[in-house]
Amino acid sequence: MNVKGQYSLEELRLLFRHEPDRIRFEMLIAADHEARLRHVEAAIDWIAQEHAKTPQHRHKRDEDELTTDLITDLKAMGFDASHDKDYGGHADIVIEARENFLWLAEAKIHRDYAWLLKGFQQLDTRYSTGLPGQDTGSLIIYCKRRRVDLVMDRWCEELARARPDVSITVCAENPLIRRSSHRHERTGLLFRVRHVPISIYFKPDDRS
Amino acid sequence: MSAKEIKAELHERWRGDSITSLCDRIIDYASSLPENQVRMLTFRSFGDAVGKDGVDDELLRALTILVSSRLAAFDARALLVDDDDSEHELSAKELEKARATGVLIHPETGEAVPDFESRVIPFFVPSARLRAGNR
Repeated sequence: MNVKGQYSLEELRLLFRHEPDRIRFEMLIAADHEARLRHVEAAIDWIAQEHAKTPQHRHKRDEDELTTDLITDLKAMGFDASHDKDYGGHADIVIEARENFLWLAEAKIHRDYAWLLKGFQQLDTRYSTGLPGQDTGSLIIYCKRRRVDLVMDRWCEELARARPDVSITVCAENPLIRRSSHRHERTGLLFRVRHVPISIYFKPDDRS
Repeated sequence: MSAKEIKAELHERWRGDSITSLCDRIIDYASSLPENQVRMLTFRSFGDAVGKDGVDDELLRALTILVSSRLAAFDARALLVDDDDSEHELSAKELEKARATGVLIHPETGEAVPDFESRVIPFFVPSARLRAGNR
Protein backbone atom coordinates (compact mmCIF):
# COMPACT_ATOMS: atom_id res chain seq x y z
CA MET A 1 0.00 0.00 0.00
CA ASN A 2 1.24 3.48 -0.76
CA VAL A 3 0.78 5.46 2.43
CA LYS A 4 2.74 8.53 1.40
CA GLY A 5 0.62 11.65 1.33
CA GLN A 6 -2.25 10.08 3.25
CA TYR A 7 -3.91 11.86 6.14
CA SER A 8 -2.85 10.63 9.55
CA LEU A 9 -5.31 10.45 12.41
CA GLU A 10 -3.61 13.48 13.94
CA GLU A 11 -4.00 15.53 10.75
CA LEU A 12 -7.64 14.56 10.42
CA ARG A 13 -8.33 15.54 14.01
CA LEU A 14 -6.83 18.94 13.34
CA LEU A 15 -8.87 19.28 10.15
CA PHE A 16 -12.07 18.35 11.96
CA ARG A 17 -11.83 20.65 14.94
CA HIS A 18 -15.24 22.27 14.50
CA GLU A 19 -17.64 20.33 16.73
CA PRO A 20 -20.08 19.07 14.05
CA ASP A 21 -17.14 17.89 11.91
CA ARG A 22 -15.48 16.28 14.91
CA ILE A 23 -18.68 14.40 15.70
CA ARG A 24 -19.09 13.27 12.08
CA PHE A 25 -15.52 12.02 12.00
CA GLU A 26 -15.85 10.21 15.31
CA MET A 27 -19.10 8.59 14.15
CA LEU A 28 -17.37 7.54 10.95
CA ILE A 29 -14.69 5.56 12.80
CA ALA A 30 -16.85 4.42 15.74
CA ALA A 31 -16.15 0.77 16.46
CA ASP A 32 -19.14 -0.21 18.55
CA HIS A 33 -22.51 0.85 19.89
CA GLU A 34 -21.12 2.53 23.01
CA ALA A 35 -18.99 4.78 20.81
CA ARG A 36 -21.95 5.50 18.53
CA LEU A 37 -24.02 6.42 21.58
CA ARG A 38 -21.36 8.87 22.76
CA HIS A 39 -21.37 10.61 19.39
CA VAL A 40 -25.18 10.75 19.17
CA GLU A 41 -25.22 12.33 22.62
CA ALA A 42 -22.50 14.79 21.62
CA ALA A 43 -24.56 15.75 18.54
CA ILE A 44 -27.69 16.29 20.63
CA ASP A 45 -25.72 18.44 23.08
CA TRP A 46 -24.19 20.54 20.32
CA ILE A 47 -27.56 21.10 18.63
CA ALA A 48 -29.23 21.85 21.98
CA GLN A 49 -26.59 24.44 22.67
CA GLU A 50 -27.04 26.01 19.23
CA HIS A 51 -30.83 26.09 19.58
CA ALA A 52 -30.56 27.62 23.05
CA LYS A 53 -28.65 30.51 21.48
CA THR A 54 -31.70 31.60 19.48
CA PRO A 55 -34.68 31.38 21.84
CA GLN A 56 -36.20 34.48 20.23
CA HIS A 57 -36.81 32.43 17.07
CA ARG A 58 -37.94 29.31 18.85
CA HIS A 59 -40.05 30.11 21.90
CA LYS A 60 -43.27 30.36 19.91
CA ARG A 61 -42.72 27.16 17.98
CA ASP A 62 -44.74 24.04 18.73
CA GLU A 63 -43.38 20.63 19.66
CA ASP A 64 -43.37 19.24 16.13
CA GLU A 65 -41.60 22.30 14.72
CA LEU A 66 -38.91 22.20 17.40
CA THR A 67 -38.36 18.49 16.81
CA THR A 68 -38.22 18.93 13.05
CA ASP A 69 -35.46 21.53 13.56
CA LEU A 70 -33.52 19.04 15.65
CA ILE A 71 -33.89 16.25 13.11
CA THR A 72 -32.88 18.56 10.26
CA ASP A 73 -29.66 19.42 12.11
CA LEU A 74 -28.95 15.76 12.90
CA LYS A 75 -29.39 14.84 9.24
CA ALA A 76 -27.11 17.68 8.19
CA MET A 77 -24.44 16.14 10.40
CA GLY A 78 -24.80 12.84 8.55
CA PHE A 79 -26.97 10.98 11.04
CA ASP A 80 -29.73 8.75 9.74
CA ALA A 81 -32.33 10.61 11.76
CA SER A 82 -36.06 10.55 11.19
CA HIS A 83 -39.39 10.89 12.91
CA ASP A 84 -41.54 8.72 10.76
CA LYS A 85 -40.28 5.25 11.65
CA ASP A 86 -42.88 2.88 13.00
CA TYR A 87 -41.38 1.11 16.00
CA GLY A 88 -44.42 0.29 18.11
CA GLY A 89 -45.71 3.66 16.94
CA HIS A 90 -43.87 6.79 15.90
CA ALA A 91 -41.12 7.94 18.23
CA ASP A 92 -40.32 11.64 17.90
CA ILE A 93 -36.69 11.09 16.89
CA VAL A 94 -35.18 7.90 15.56
CA ILE A 95 -31.48 7.52 14.82
CA GLU A 96 -30.34 4.35 13.16
CA ALA A 97 -26.80 3.30 12.41
CA ARG A 98 -24.86 0.28 11.26
CA GLU A 99 -25.08 -3.06 13.01
CA ASN A 100 -28.68 -2.43 14.09
CA PHE A 101 -27.92 0.52 16.32
CA LEU A 102 -31.16 2.24 17.25
CA TRP A 103 -31.51 5.32 19.43
CA LEU A 104 -34.90 6.83 20.17
CA ALA A 105 -36.02 10.06 21.75
CA GLU A 106 -39.26 11.52 22.89
CA ALA A 107 -39.26 15.30 22.72
CA LYS A 108 -41.76 17.24 24.80
CA ILE A 109 -42.44 20.87 25.54
CA HIS A 110 -42.59 21.07 29.31
CA ARG A 111 -46.13 22.05 30.22
CA ASP A 112 -46.54 19.78 33.24
CA TYR A 113 -44.75 16.79 34.73
CA ALA A 114 -47.46 14.32 33.71
CA TRP A 115 -46.69 15.24 30.10
CA LEU A 116 -43.01 14.52 30.60
CA LEU A 117 -43.83 11.24 32.33
CA LYS A 118 -45.99 10.28 29.37
CA GLY A 119 -42.99 10.87 27.10
CA PHE A 120 -40.75 8.73 29.29
CA GLN A 121 -43.32 5.92 29.40
CA GLN A 122 -43.81 6.04 25.64
CA LEU A 123 -40.08 5.79 25.09
CA ASP A 124 -39.68 2.97 27.59
CA THR A 125 -42.77 0.83 27.13
CA ARG A 126 -44.04 1.61 23.66
CA TYR A 127 -41.16 2.36 21.27
CA SER A 128 -37.92 0.87 22.59
CA THR A 129 -37.00 -2.75 22.00
CA GLY A 130 -34.50 -2.88 24.87
CA LEU A 131 -32.24 -5.09 22.75
CA PRO A 132 -28.44 -4.70 22.72
CA GLY A 133 -27.55 -1.65 20.65
CA GLN A 134 -31.13 -0.46 21.07
CA ASP A 135 -31.08 0.01 24.82
CA THR A 136 -30.55 3.75 25.07
CA GLY A 137 -32.57 6.84 24.35
CA SER A 138 -33.39 10.31 25.42
CA LEU A 139 -36.16 12.43 26.78
CA ILE A 140 -35.68 15.88 25.30
CA ILE A 141 -37.44 18.61 27.22
CA TYR A 142 -38.07 21.93 25.49
CA CYS A 143 -38.31 24.38 28.32
CA LYS A 144 -40.09 27.67 27.66
CA ARG A 145 -40.17 28.54 31.37
CA ARG A 146 -37.52 30.15 33.51
CA ARG A 147 -35.09 28.21 35.75
CA VAL A 148 -34.56 25.04 33.80
CA ASP A 149 -32.52 23.74 36.75
CA LEU A 150 -35.62 23.74 38.95
CA VAL A 151 -37.66 22.09 36.23
CA MET A 152 -35.12 19.26 35.98
CA ASP A 153 -34.97 18.85 39.77
CA ARG A 154 -38.74 18.60 40.01
CA TRP A 155 -38.98 16.33 36.98
CA CYS A 156 -36.60 13.86 38.56
CA GLU A 157 -38.57 13.90 41.81
CA GLU A 158 -41.75 13.17 39.86
CA LEU A 159 -40.08 10.42 37.83
CA ALA A 160 -38.67 8.78 40.96
CA ARG A 161 -42.11 8.88 42.54
CA ALA A 162 -43.87 7.41 39.50
CA ARG A 163 -41.15 4.91 38.64
CA PRO A 164 -39.36 3.65 41.74
CA ASP A 165 -37.51 1.11 39.58
CA VAL A 166 -35.61 3.93 37.83
CA SER A 167 -32.21 5.13 39.13
CA ILE A 168 -31.39 8.75 38.36
CA THR A 169 -28.04 10.54 38.41
CA VAL A 170 -26.86 14.00 37.47
CA CYS A 171 -24.69 14.08 34.34
CA ALA A 172 -21.07 14.72 35.31
CA GLU A 173 -20.46 17.07 32.38
CA ASN A 174 -23.65 19.10 32.54
CA PRO A 175 -25.60 19.57 35.82
CA LEU A 176 -28.81 20.28 33.89
CA ILE A 177 -28.80 16.85 32.29
CA ARG A 178 -29.89 13.68 34.07
CA ARG A 179 -29.21 10.06 33.30
CA SER A 180 -31.56 7.30 34.31
CA SER A 181 -31.44 3.54 34.05
CA HIS A 182 -33.75 0.67 34.81
CA ARG A 183 -34.45 -2.90 33.76
CA HIS A 184 -36.33 -2.94 30.48
CA GLU A 185 -39.63 -4.72 30.82
CA ARG A 186 -39.24 -6.64 27.57
CA THR A 187 -35.63 -7.77 27.73
CA GLY A 188 -34.55 -7.41 31.34
CA LEU A 189 -31.47 -5.53 30.10
CA LEU A 190 -30.52 -2.15 31.45
CA PHE A 191 -32.30 0.64 29.57
CA ARG A 192 -30.56 4.00 29.77
CA VAL A 193 -32.25 7.31 29.17
CA ARG A 194 -30.60 10.72 29.02
CA HIS A 195 -32.89 13.57 30.02
CA VAL A 196 -31.80 16.66 28.10
CA PRO A 197 -33.40 20.08 28.58
CA ILE A 198 -33.27 22.68 25.83
CA SER A 199 -34.00 26.08 27.25
CA ILE A 200 -35.84 28.34 24.84
CA TYR A 201 -37.16 30.66 27.52
CA PHE A 202 -37.30 34.16 26.10
CA LYS A 203 -38.42 37.13 28.11
CA PRO A 204 -35.97 40.00 27.80
CA ASP A 205 -36.35 42.69 30.43
CA ASP A 206 -35.05 45.52 28.29
CA ARG A 207 -38.50 46.42 26.97
CA SER A 208 -40.91 48.40 29.03
CA MET B 1 -26.77 -6.40 -1.57
CA SER B 2 -25.33 -4.68 -4.63
CA ALA B 3 -24.10 -1.15 -5.18
CA LYS B 4 -27.37 -0.53 -6.99
CA GLU B 5 -29.40 -1.67 -3.98
CA ILE B 6 -27.30 0.37 -1.56
CA LYS B 7 -27.81 3.43 -3.76
CA ALA B 8 -31.55 2.80 -3.86
CA GLU B 9 -31.60 2.65 -0.04
CA LEU B 10 -29.50 5.82 0.12
CA HIS B 11 -31.91 7.70 -2.12
CA GLU B 12 -34.87 6.50 -0.12
CA ARG B 13 -33.38 7.55 3.24
CA TRP B 14 -31.85 10.86 2.06
CA ARG B 15 -34.51 11.75 -0.49
CA GLY B 16 -34.16 15.30 -1.80
CA ASP B 17 -30.72 15.76 -0.22
CA SER B 18 -28.00 16.83 -2.63
CA ILE B 19 -25.44 14.75 -0.72
CA THR B 20 -26.77 11.65 -2.50
CA SER B 21 -24.98 12.55 -5.73
CA LEU B 22 -21.60 12.62 -3.98
CA CYS B 23 -22.42 9.36 -2.20
CA ASP B 24 -23.33 7.83 -5.58
CA ARG B 25 -19.98 8.91 -7.04
CA ILE B 26 -18.09 7.39 -4.12
CA ILE B 27 -19.96 4.09 -4.46
CA ASP B 28 -19.43 4.07 -8.24
CA TYR B 29 -15.73 4.78 -7.78
CA ALA B 30 -15.22 1.97 -5.28
CA SER B 31 -17.32 -0.44 -7.34
CA SER B 32 -15.30 0.27 -10.48
CA LEU B 33 -11.94 -0.59 -8.91
CA PRO B 34 -10.36 -4.01 -9.33
CA GLU B 35 -10.15 -6.15 -6.17
CA ASN B 36 -6.47 -5.36 -5.54
CA GLN B 37 -7.12 -1.62 -5.49
CA VAL B 38 -9.89 -1.49 -2.94
CA ARG B 39 -7.83 -2.74 -0.04
CA MET B 40 -7.09 0.77 1.17
CA LEU B 41 -9.48 3.58 0.31
CA THR B 42 -8.41 6.70 2.14
CA PHE B 43 -9.77 10.20 2.63
CA ARG B 44 -7.20 11.22 0.01
CA SER B 45 -8.23 8.60 -2.54
CA PHE B 46 -11.93 9.37 -2.12
CA GLY B 47 -11.18 13.09 -2.41
CA ASP B 48 -9.12 12.57 -5.57
CA ALA B 49 -11.83 10.33 -7.05
CA VAL B 50 -14.52 12.98 -6.68
CA GLY B 51 -12.28 15.88 -7.75
CA LYS B 52 -11.62 17.52 -4.40
CA ASP B 53 -8.29 18.99 -3.32
CA GLY B 54 -8.70 17.76 0.22
CA VAL B 55 -11.35 16.70 2.68
CA ASP B 56 -14.18 19.16 3.07
CA ASP B 57 -17.45 19.10 5.03
CA GLU B 58 -19.33 17.61 2.10
CA LEU B 59 -16.97 14.67 1.63
CA LEU B 60 -16.88 14.04 5.38
CA ARG B 61 -20.66 14.03 5.52
CA ALA B 62 -20.97 11.69 2.53
CA LEU B 63 -18.49 9.25 4.07
CA THR B 64 -20.24 9.43 7.44
CA ILE B 65 -23.46 8.41 5.73
CA LEU B 66 -21.84 5.61 3.73
CA VAL B 67 -19.85 4.17 6.64
CA SER B 68 -21.80 4.80 9.83
CA SER B 69 -25.43 4.58 8.73
CA ARG B 70 -27.34 1.39 8.10
CA LEU B 71 -26.07 1.53 4.52
CA ALA B 72 -22.69 0.31 5.87
CA ALA B 73 -21.20 0.43 2.38
CA PHE B 74 -17.67 0.63 3.76
CA ASP B 75 -15.89 -0.56 6.88
CA ALA B 76 -13.42 1.65 8.75
CA ARG B 77 -9.89 0.37 9.44
CA ALA B 78 -6.56 1.93 10.32
CA LEU B 79 -2.95 1.40 9.38
CA LEU B 80 -0.04 1.86 11.76
CA VAL B 81 3.08 2.93 9.89
CA ASP B 82 6.43 2.46 11.63
CA ASP B 83 9.49 4.68 11.19
CA ASP B 84 10.91 2.08 8.79
CA ASP B 85 7.67 2.25 6.75
CA SER B 86 6.51 -1.20 7.79
CA GLU B 87 2.74 -1.34 8.05
CA HIS B 88 0.38 -3.02 10.49
CA GLU B 89 -3.37 -3.07 10.02
CA LEU B 90 -5.53 -2.19 13.01
CA SER B 91 -9.20 -2.94 13.44
CA ALA B 92 -11.64 -0.18 14.30
CA LYS B 93 -11.90 -1.71 17.79
CA GLU B 94 -8.13 -1.63 18.30
CA LEU B 95 -8.06 2.00 17.27
CA GLU B 96 -11.03 2.83 19.49
CA LYS B 97 -9.31 1.22 22.47
CA ALA B 98 -6.06 3.09 21.79
CA ARG B 99 -7.88 6.39 21.58
CA ALA B 100 -9.89 5.70 24.73
CA THR B 101 -6.82 4.76 26.75
CA GLY B 102 -4.33 7.03 25.01
CA VAL B 103 -2.05 4.05 24.48
CA LEU B 104 -1.57 2.02 21.32
CA ILE B 105 0.26 -1.24 21.86
CA HIS B 106 2.33 -2.18 18.84
CA PRO B 107 0.90 -5.42 17.38
CA GLU B 108 4.37 -6.96 16.94
CA THR B 109 6.68 -5.48 19.55
CA GLY B 110 4.03 -5.30 22.28
CA GLU B 111 5.35 -1.88 23.27
CA ALA B 112 3.43 1.38 23.49
CA VAL B 113 3.71 3.41 20.27
CA PRO B 114 4.76 6.99 21.03
CA ASP B 115 2.69 9.74 19.40
CA PHE B 116 0.59 7.07 17.73
CA GLU B 117 -2.01 9.40 16.17
CA SER B 118 0.63 10.80 13.81
CA ARG B 119 1.51 7.23 12.70
CA VAL B 120 -2.00 5.93 12.16
CA ILE B 121 -3.81 6.35 8.85
CA PRO B 122 -7.57 5.72 8.86
CA PHE B 123 -8.81 3.99 5.73
CA PHE B 124 -11.85 2.16 4.42
CA VAL B 125 -12.64 -1.04 2.61
CA PRO B 126 -15.86 -1.95 0.80
CA SER B 127 -18.09 -3.81 3.23
CA ALA B 128 -19.37 -7.33 2.69
CA ARG B 129 -22.69 -5.70 1.75
CA LEU B 130 -21.13 -3.73 -1.07
CA ARG B 131 -18.82 -6.51 -2.19
CA ALA B 132 -21.63 -9.06 -2.31
CA GLY B 133 -23.17 -7.45 -5.35
CA ASN B 134 -19.88 -7.00 -7.15
CA ARG B 135 -18.83 -10.63 -7.15
